[in-house]
Amino acid sequence: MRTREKRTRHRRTFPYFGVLLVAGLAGCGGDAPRAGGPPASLEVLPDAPRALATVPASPVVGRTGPGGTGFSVAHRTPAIEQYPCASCHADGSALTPARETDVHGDIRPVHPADAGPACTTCHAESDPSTLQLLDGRTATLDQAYRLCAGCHFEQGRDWAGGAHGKRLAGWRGQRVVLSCTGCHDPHSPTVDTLVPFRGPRIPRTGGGLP
Amino acid sequence: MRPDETRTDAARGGAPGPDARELTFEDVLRYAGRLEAERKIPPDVLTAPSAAGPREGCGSGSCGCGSQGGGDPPAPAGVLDKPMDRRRALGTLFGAAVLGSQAAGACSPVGDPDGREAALLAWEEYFKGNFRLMTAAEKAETIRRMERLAELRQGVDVAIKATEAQPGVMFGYAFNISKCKGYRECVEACIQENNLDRASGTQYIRIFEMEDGEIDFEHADAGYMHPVPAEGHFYLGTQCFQCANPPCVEVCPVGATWQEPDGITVVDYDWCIGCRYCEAACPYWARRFNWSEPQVPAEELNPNQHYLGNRARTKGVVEKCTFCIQRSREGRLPACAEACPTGARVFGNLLDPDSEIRWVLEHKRVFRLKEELGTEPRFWYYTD
Repeated sequence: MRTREKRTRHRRTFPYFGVLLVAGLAGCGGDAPRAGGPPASLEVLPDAPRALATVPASPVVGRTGPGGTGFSVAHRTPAIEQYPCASCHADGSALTPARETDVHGDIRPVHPADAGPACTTCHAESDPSTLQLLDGRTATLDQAYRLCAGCHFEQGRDWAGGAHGKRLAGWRGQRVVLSCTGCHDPHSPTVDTLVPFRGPRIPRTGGGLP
Repeated sequence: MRPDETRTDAARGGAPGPDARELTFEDVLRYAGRLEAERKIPPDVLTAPSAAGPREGCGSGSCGCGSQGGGDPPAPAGVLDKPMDRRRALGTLFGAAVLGSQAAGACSPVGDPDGREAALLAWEEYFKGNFRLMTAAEKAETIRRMERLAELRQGVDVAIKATEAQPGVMFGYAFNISKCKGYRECVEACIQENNLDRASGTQYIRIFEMEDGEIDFEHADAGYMHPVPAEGHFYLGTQCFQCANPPCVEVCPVGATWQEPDGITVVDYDWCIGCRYCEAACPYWARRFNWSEPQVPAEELNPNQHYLGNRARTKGVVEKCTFCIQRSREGRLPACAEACPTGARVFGNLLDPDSEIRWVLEHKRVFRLKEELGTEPRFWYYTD
């Protein structure tokens, strides 16, 4: 009973604080002291992230995001060192098997697992920098999501909705997400094992567990 | 004049009525219980008529050093010509006197001017009010003081914002326990972004390594230091869940912590008395207490700060995750969500039906921790 009374009184004080605050703010427009005016940070309205302006991206083909809205996918190709293929294979030539290990040896072709290292499962036979979709259409490397979702349709659905994948820069404004290959190595998509960052030093309250 | 009217006038900063002064003191006393001890100061000292014009600080070269010999407070030259609450009046009156006697060089030409200015600013800071009761001008003043103090003490140029909650925004968070691999990149980003104490190793986020099949915090390991992800384990991160019904706010005896309109529970570090009731009340262990003065190297300090977020804290106050209020209120993702390399963290506006967080809540199987407590966390866990 005593507790209840205390709580009631406590609640009653807060509207009172509110009235004061509102009254104080209301007076500010007039002759309230404004020594030099408030810092700019108080008056600047929050703005959508500008970082996105530098991210090359293009609208997603064939899918919509939450609420049926369109969204964009960040380009993957600027980060590929040996792209475009024509930078080496300008004349359409292929490498000898010995040289191929030197140049493309970092490719770990373990995916798709049951298909084995069959490049043409995903790459168009005529042009490795074009992706071959299962339905016969083709896609660019920046549209890898179209190819991946051909098998991984559940992940494709979650990716479009926002439960899978990674949104860049801000929660508001233009939605730009990474493509599948922004995180996954398409030839070996499993996430790597890494040593984690520093752990906690303060024990959890009430127990010896960290 | 009715008391209410007088109070309103004083709060507005308008012309004081005949008895406005007295009522203003009462008001301040009511809010600032910690100043109760100061009541022994005779009222006539505070209300003495002005004779020498507006007060000038020591830095201006015309300070009232001559009156400090006996230890009596100096005559309040014009201090109360304008309406002033007790808190500010005390700060103004005794600032110069106390500093003059404690810092011997306060008025001597050979003193350290930066140290003197910092001491004066810190003194003025002590007498400011609760953030929620400040006018925009008062917020601007304290922010200017804090920015200057950071420059004087650490030589860093910080920008402290007081960005308010945006209408139509209620922040929510979702965490994919299928995707988290325990790298702790979020923890690291949080430490950097929020200027967490390096000396004590304060962390807002804790990642628990759990055996597949069961969520069991008693047998979970948060201190793992082996390569991750470990076979047969999954990872679940905790931090402040920004509850819709926060018990930590309920127990605060001084109103130093509250829930903002966008759902973020914040702390006014300068109003916190360090009682740690909130820490005890939180069922998720989301609050952290500063047992020592927080240490952040100047070169690692994040200068982009918010009054209710990552600005400098002191020893003896409680702090917590604010969903990176200095970032999220500008439309950016919290540092943890941005740093996560596996996309396990989804952040957004719960009131926007077209947001990713809403899509997750509507399409995925989600749960929250300790739902039976009725705290209504705005932080959901989900699986692929």
